[in-house]
Amino acid sequence: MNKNIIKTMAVALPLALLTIYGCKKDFLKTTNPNKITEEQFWKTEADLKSAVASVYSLLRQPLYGYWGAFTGIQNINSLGDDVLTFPGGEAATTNIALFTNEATNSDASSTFSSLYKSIYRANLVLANADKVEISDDLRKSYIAETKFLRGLCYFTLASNFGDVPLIIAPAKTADDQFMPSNPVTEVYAQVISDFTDAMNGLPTTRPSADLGRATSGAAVAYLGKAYLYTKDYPKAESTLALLNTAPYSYNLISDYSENFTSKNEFNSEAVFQWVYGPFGDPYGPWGVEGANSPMYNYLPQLIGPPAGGGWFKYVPTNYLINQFMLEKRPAGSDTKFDKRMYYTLSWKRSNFGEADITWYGGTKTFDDLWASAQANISKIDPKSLLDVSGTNQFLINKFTNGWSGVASADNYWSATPSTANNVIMRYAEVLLMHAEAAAQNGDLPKAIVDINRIRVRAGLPEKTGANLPDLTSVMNEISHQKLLEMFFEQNRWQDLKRWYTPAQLKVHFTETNKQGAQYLQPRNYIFPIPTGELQTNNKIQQNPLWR
Amino acid sequence: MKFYDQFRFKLLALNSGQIIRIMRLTILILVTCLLQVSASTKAQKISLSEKNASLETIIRKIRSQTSYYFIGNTDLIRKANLINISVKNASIEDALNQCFLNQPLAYSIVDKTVVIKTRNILSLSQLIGQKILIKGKVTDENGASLTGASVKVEGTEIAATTNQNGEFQVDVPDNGAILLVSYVGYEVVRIKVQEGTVMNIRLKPQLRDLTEVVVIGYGTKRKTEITSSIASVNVNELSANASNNVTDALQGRVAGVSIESSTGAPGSKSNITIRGTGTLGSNGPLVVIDGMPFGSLDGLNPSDIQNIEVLKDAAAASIYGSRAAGGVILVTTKLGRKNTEPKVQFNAVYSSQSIAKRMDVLNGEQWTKLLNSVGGNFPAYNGTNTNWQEEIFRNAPIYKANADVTGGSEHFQYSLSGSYLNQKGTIIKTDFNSANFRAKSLYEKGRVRIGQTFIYNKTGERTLPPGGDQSHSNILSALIVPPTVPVYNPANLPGGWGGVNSGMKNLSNPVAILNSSDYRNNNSSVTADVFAEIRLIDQLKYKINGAISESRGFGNNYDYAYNDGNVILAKPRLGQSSGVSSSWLLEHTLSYDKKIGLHNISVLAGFTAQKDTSNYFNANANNLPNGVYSFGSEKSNQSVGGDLADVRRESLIGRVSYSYDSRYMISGSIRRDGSSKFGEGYYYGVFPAISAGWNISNEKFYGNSGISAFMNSLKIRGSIGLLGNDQIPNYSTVNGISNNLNFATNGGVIVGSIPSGNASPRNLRWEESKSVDAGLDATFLNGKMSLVFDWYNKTAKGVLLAVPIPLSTGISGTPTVNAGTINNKGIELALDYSDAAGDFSYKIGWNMTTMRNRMTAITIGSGNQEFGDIERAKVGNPIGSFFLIKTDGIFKTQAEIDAYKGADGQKIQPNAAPGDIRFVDFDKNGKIDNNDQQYTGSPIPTLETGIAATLGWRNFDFNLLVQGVFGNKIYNGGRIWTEQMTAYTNLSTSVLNAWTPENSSSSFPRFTLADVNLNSRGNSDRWLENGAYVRVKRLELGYTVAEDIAKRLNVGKIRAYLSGQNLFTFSKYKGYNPDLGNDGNPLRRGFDSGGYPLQRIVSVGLNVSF
Repeated sequence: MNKNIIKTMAVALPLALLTIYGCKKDFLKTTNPNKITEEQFWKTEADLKSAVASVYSLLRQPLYGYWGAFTGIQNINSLGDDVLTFPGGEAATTNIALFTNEATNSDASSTFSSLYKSIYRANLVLANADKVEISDDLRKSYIAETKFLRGLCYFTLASNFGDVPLIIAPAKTADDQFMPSNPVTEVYAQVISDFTDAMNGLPTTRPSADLGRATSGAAVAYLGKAYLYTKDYPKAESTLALLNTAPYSYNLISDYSENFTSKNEFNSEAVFQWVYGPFGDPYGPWGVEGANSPMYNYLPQLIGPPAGGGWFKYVPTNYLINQFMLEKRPAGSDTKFDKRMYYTLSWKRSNFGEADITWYGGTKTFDDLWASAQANISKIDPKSLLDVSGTNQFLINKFTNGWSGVASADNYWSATPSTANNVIMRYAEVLLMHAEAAAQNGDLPKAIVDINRIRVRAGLPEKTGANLPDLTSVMNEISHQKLLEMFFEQNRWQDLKRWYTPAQLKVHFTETNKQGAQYLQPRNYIFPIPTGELQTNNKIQQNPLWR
Repeated sequence: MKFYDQFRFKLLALNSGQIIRIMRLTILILVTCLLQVSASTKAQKISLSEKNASLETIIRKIRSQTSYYFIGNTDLIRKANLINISVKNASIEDALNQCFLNQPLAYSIVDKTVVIKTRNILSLSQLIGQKILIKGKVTDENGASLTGASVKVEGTEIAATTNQNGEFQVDVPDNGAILLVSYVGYEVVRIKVQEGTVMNIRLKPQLRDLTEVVVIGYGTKRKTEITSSIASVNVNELSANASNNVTDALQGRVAGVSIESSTGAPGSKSNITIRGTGTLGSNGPLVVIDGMPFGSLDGLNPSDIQNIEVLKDAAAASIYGSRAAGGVILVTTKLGRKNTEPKVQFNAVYSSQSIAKRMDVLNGEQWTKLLNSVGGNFPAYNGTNTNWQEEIFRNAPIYKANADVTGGSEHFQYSLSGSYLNQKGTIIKTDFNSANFRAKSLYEKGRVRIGQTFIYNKTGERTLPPGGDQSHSNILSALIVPPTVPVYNPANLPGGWGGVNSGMKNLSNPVAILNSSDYRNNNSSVTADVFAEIRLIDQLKYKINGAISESRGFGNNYDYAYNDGNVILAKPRLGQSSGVSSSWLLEHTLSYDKKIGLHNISVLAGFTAQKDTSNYFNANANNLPNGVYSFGSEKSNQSVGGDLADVRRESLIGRVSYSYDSRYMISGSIRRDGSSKFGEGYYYGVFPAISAGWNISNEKFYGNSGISAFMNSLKIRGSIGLLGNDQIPNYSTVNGISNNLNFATNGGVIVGSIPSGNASPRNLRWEESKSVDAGLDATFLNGKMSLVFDWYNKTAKGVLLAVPIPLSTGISGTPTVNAGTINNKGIELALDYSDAAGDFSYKIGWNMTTMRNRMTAITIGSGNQEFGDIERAKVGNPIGSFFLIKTDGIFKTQAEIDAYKGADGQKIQPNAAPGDIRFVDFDKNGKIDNNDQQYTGSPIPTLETGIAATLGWRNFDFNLLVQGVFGNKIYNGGRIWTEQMTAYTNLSTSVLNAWTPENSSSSFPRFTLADVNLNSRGNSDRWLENGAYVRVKRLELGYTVAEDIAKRLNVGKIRAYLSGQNLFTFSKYKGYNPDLGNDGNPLRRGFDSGGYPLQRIVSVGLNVSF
């Protein structure tokens, strides 16, 4: 009997325990307690607004990407003939500035991947917007806003990388994740389509709280820019002309400098801008997307001279200075030179017979700034690229915090990091693009009207048809004005590429002492597809120029 | 030890009623092999006719003819001389008398059992010449007396056995006689007799004893019957007392087990790789401590370990199915012996650590001179010459003490231990301390065994903060901050730290960072295990095992306000994090062992369930007022974060083992595992394994052959099986929403969210690793030498990996996919030799592993047959192989550059100038670009080896471990910064030899900040170095104070020792140390990014037991 009990126990006990757990069929079923899942998303307007915000997010990041102070802004500006960068900083930037970059270049890769991340998000919004319960008008507006951003991404990719994969829908299968490049013409066609849809679906103005989101004016300006870049001058002219009339009310503001400081933001000249504000942890700019990621403007940190707390990565070329000095203001004007030069550059005014001023809240004279900049300037190699003898001593003031009235204000570790918006499409650019398109269409008088609006604001006398009798002279004036007006605004390199063949540009660069002129090759007109893409995507091929 | 024993079923059955009770006729039982015959009635007369037969054979024959049973030590029986016998219908006494004639053995018959033992006293007639009476005492390694030890005079048949007090006396022919002292489970001691004193003979536990018992998954097995690949490490091999952690003590000791210290930081963990990298994800072995599978070797005090078994092949490990793909490490902690008085051991160690190597960098004068000659515009050298390495490195002590008490009665065994470690870091402002408490007990009576283990571990550390800029650790900063920068500069407030001047690269002052960043972690963990085992019927046992574990951690990162010229932190900031993780495990197992004749069968079946949960949150804030150390005050930029996880596993396990006569063994196991990490419908994986072995030396023909005298035992074995891996991030197959992708408008921040898109495919499956193993175990020269050999071939299929996806997908993060197949194969060899001569005893062990790692297939969606950048997974190459552009010397003249042309006649390096590096145009497209990256080596060693030697001479003992690693390459990412010469940083002194037109024979490229030829390109083999090294890992000299002195001090034993770790490293590697660690990512292995250097440690210690 005893034996039987034990036998029974021997079988029953483990079996019973087994059964207890065996019955818990859902023991292995768990759900993620940290995140809501895709199935729960795309329900309300808040979801949609939040999703569209995510498309903006990486485009406006302060340091990385095409408009990032550490990568895109440095790179694109360094390619022009108006600034010199110093070797011995970040190798990726130096290589781009010297035209010795390769597919491994981390800056170009950062630009490429940020843009595609935004495109991925835009595609998700466009594919899912229909699921959201929301009025049709509102839906249309969000779709237009998203298409604007996607158009902006592809426009930037096409103009900087040439042929790239054209992805306009979320990947459905794993195979969809591996896409070949499309010809750049197809990419531009998509850009024009997206900007056109955006133009038609976006509001012309936004309420105060929404300032900074895309408007139809922004879409029009970029559509015109895309036509101009694809040399469709008639459409460029007619499109850009839309911004000169109602319902748009863009205008040049009287004080040029207020385009770049936080004094008069969202003014009538600002067509599209990245909004910066006192949000997030100013000490954490290198992290990109986080709850506490900073929304400050870090341009002053990279441009400003060391005496102002900056890292001082650029110095203006002798060529730029000469261009500014080329045309003095008429006798009796309140300044000797072009009004824009006084904000754009800093120099010792007494060298040219004007009263000296100070920067950074009166704490720094030009000699202080120049002395602090010496160690970097001496790195320029060969030294013949930059003549700093005599009165040839100039520094960049534009985008720094020299105006802010605070000592050491360029340093983001300071208590007052910059919150100035970065206006990436100004009405001044619209005018100059319109002038170019009109001139190319043979309508020189119309171009001269635009040119004169720019000149007058700069304190220069108007030009007449007699001064600018032919296309060449008009284009030269546009080039000259755009160099001065849009200095360090990521336009010079793109313009030079349109106006010069590589061979011509090499000559021009050699004449103007552009660093790395001897290394310029036709392939440098675009960046190569980054290795990060080539190594993961077996469907893509390197762009032909780079093979 | 092996006994032939027998049970008298009928008699016992009668005595105990209806229950059949099994009684053993042994006293000192470590393990028994039960050979039995049914108790049939047979004639008690014996007929035998054998020539040159072994005693074993004779015993078998006698047993088959009678109902007599034999009991005796196998080793003794094996030592018997060969027997010639011819009897017919003889009585057992007559037969045995013939057999035991001229044998060193004697027998006695008790009831119907024949007991075989050493011949105690020989008749006087056998003695020749003068006799000297020698007295002595035999003790174990701890000084406890050993009863029944055998003392034999070498070359004679004179022998004695020790009494209850471990004492013996023996008459020897002369004072040059040698005693051979042996005891089961201990090494034989060979010692010259000492006249007139009581000889104290201390025995050491035998290490690779084929009769020892081995812990296997959910059970134990006699080593002779093991058919899979299991390596055992006994605590005595570990130099446990002088080791600060277990893995460190294991390094270099086990064939096939590769241990890399992750960094030299105090308290840092080590990475263990068993038989190569089989996966691309987490590859560490499963650590099971006293039945608790959530263990980590890091929280364990090395002195607490009794032994460690490493389950290397699938047959051994697959009972642990799910997480066993990286092998299994079973740790058994110490337990007292039965019927022993409480014994206390105390150990205290003081160590001094230092960083053995310094990088040669420029001093202030050299730096100023050189940099100003190449375009720098720095003030003349003013005497400021900071040696940043000396500023951050220091000699640092370790204090360690541990104590344990062990003991046991007939039914209860226990062990209690505690330890404390306080280690300062060799980098300033880093430290680690740890306290440990462990209690283990076992109660055994009748049908019931109940045991428990409890471990409490508490640690505190101050860690190395990240460097003050984006790309440099503080160690790298110490190499590249120019020496003309002072450590302190009162003008830089707050803090007053020296900072870089304009023109220099923006770098942080590492001393400032180390002083201003106070990063601390405090953790405590409790793990506890209780089991109860009930013998139900016969040998059917039911066992329930429950374990829980809970760890709590608190991290406190505080940054004081400081200004080091690069970073100005105006006000302090604080980050805190707190987490708790807990696990429970429940296991039910039924095991059954049955012997039928020579057939021996054991069966195991069970069910296990486990749940791991964790909950964590963190908070950060800036701009705290000075002097405030909590969030309790004015602050800004606060943020919080957190994470929850819940992982569950349930499994069914089963195993059947069968052996016949200890000659043929076969064992099969299966485990069905479910893991919640996978999507619904893909939870389960089934992991079977089978193994078989043949003890050739137990065959009659072997015992009779001539080989047996030389090769005493030989076993061959083979196994095949499947293991699994579920180490993927939690909730991988669910596409979550990514938040905080923010945007700002005039109205403020708009929080952005989007589906992350990086979910793994729903059909993500278990990674399966198929492992084949063939091995042999042999002993030679009367057990003095042992050999273990294994060949293995391990193939992991459906390897789980986060494979990089194209940038153009726009997805952040990478989905985990079943990415491919990886093969590892190699051989392992372990050879041990031990012997003694006079007072001198020694043991030398050598182990070696070869490894060949190959990616054999890649199955990612793109169809690409490779992925990665400078370290790649590519079919046909080891994982993480370096793909770099090869360098080919320096261009000495412009003519050389012009002559270096591609097929189309264009210059391959048009931007080069004399003094630049010539790169190899591997793809012959006339350009140098990333397509020229070619296979340049692997970070995985092809050969790892270790030699361990233990020597004993009188009261001295000496321990040596040399470890070597060969065949691997290291990418020296730190050297890039000191040699690239593209920024005004400090540089290696090797740049003084840079190419110049005057120094045109130099192989070091010219100085150029712009570097248009990309001499400093990261993807060239300029930075790749040979990673082979040989290291004197450990050297230890101990002295045990003579027993009589110890007794006078009223203690059992005193041993003092001097120990050195990492004393010498022979390597061509230019970084601090070639032992880089392995952060678990196979595409980052062998990549030196400037971690905490490994330290050299010199220790003195004292060990007292009473």
